[in-house]
Amino acid sequence: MRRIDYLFLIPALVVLVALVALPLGQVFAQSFTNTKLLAASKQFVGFANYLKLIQDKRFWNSVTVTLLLASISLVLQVSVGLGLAIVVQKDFVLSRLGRSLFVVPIVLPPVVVAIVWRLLFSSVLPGINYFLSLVGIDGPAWFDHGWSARFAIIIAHAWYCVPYVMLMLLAGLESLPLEPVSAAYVDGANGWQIFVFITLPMLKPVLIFTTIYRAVQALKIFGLVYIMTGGGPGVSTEPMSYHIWRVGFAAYKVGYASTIAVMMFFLILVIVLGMGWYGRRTGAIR
Amino acid sequence: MKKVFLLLGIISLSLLAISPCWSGGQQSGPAAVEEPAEPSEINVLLMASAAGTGLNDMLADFESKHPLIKVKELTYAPAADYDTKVELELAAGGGAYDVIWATGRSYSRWALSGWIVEIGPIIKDPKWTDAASFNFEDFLGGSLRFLDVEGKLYALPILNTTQVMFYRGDIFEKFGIAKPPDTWDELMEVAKKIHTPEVGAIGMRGSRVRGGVMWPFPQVLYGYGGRIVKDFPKDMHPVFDSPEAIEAAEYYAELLQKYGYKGTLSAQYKDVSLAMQQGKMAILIDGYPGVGPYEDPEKSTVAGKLRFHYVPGGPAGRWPAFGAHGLAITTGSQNKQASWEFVKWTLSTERQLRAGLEKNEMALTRKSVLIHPEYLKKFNYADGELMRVLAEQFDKQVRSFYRPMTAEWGEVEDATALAMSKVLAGEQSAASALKEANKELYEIYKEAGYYKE
Repeated sequence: MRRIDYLFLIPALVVLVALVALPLGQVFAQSFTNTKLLAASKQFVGFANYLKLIQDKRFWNSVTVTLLLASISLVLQVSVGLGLAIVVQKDFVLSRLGRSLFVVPIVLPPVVVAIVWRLLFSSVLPGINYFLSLVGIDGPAWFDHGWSARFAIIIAHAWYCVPYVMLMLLAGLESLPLEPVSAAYVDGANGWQIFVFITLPMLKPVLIFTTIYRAVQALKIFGLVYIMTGGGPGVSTEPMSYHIWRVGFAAYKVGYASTIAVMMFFLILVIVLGMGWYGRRTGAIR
Repeated sequence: MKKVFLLLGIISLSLLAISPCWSGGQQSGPAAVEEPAEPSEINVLLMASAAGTGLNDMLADFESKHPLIKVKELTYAPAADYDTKVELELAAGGGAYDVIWATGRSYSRWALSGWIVEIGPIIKDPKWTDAASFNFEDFLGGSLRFLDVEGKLYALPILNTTQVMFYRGDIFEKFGIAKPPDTWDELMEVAKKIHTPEVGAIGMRGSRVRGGVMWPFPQVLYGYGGRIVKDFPKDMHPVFDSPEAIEAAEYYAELLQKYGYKGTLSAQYKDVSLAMQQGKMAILIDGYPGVGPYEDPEKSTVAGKLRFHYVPGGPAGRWPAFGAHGLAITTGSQNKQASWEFVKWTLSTERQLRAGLEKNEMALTRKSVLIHPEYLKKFNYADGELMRVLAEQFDKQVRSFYRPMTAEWGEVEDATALAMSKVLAGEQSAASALKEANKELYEIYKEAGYYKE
């Protein structure tokens, strides 16, 4: 690159520093203090917040809940998203309709999605339980028990995120070369064999990138939980992001909330690096 | 009807029996209240609730009376997010809003943080307030005392509330129950008799969110002789794990788990309200301001079938909930005088009466409105039964405090509600959950400096 080329990077760097690096730095710095939203003064407390965090059962519960919600939702997103991408890639009337229909959730704000799903899972209104009653099943009060509340959030989250996966994988599918598929047909391979041995391996880089991207998003789940369950019952649907919000804005302990945020940052970083390492090891990512 | 007048007269007197030291409006200065000299604009933020609902439709009246003041924005924020939204704004020192709804649960924290203006002096200042037309004494004394923070007043009441028992007269008749339950034990017995899978016997809030389970549960807790802290506000040592508190939690869990309508264990206000309108329960114990939709035939399947009774009591007596919300002026407001004019207008007898008659707002805060013949005629539910219950509760049953509303209430509510949520979901025993919560409360109050050990 010529020296002048670097000048063109400056605007982007300024924005990046102002909007990402500075707030991140502030959170890191704050995690070593006892800052409170309502208190005028704050003190440096060293690693006290981190030591407290290690013993904080509620934090570890939030880690478990986060991983549980994110992993199941991610499996659903990728499998259903891939299935839909394959369906809408085919050229027939319903697939063209599907391309428009399946992306509808993307345009909805998370709050609207959460409210709609909360109403659908309501035991008072005729939503999911009504359809269950048609086949003789007495649906539960979904938000009264931990397992069913988690299930409701996972379904809502997967429904909201599947279109992103579908669009990214559809773009990947459409960019694949046709020659290997044609050659496989000539050699007598059936549709399933072509998918497993030709399409999927070629799609792997896109698949891994999409999975990493969606994993990061899933680990940050907040809005749906906030509206649908408020973290309850008990702490059964309280992920890390909600725990941070609670500590910061119910208990006003901004310093300690920053500590949890830092831990969350590193946790996501480790997961992303792990997935990236796997992608490079398998040759899917260069 | 005369009895209702009489009872409300009693409320008025009793609620004002003890005059707070900041009591304003005593001066009878000149009526020449100064209007803002320059045109000004104000922004108002309200919590979506059972009061102030129709203000946007009435603004023309305000602006015609105050031509130099324009209400630029009047925004409603959902109750669940409201406190956080306000606190983020106020903590940043912003003056984005001039007038805000001050929630009962957070008000003292905002006042003690210096985020809202002390209005006692404004009430007394004849340049700002014409004592005669403002008529400070007309506000319900109980609500004013609720909004008292260390002898100072930072907001005027816009909503005054308690909980009552709403019960289905037709269901009670069907099961041959002659009278509504007066104690928690009687309530359990009645619930056993009337509970069906289609129509649950009881609905009460069970959610752990702000304004969830810790709004109704203290009624049971105190009724059984339990407390959150030992002797509020003198001794703030928590006693949430006392045998009485555990018994109350076990009772609440048994009542809702066995006889609650489907969904009550995780219900917030809007959930129990909707379920009541859908006819999913026979008894609801919740705030009386919500009665409008229940008795609206266009919105409710139970309109005209409801009867009203006191919140049941326990071995330690009746402890019906009590709370108030207010209107406050933010410290960061650049238009305090215009804001004060807006507060005065919003809470005036004329505007409140209009809200009652046109917008079905019942939980109003001026005595002159509550005893107004048109108001009484409008809210004559079950031939005045609701009014009689309210009069008795406000007069004799509500206590000077309901929940320990210190600056730490957000944390305290979170810890106690979480414990109750675990008990209700069957995840933890009452003894274990309340013990854990009590340990947390101990640390919260200790850190706040209420005690050293």
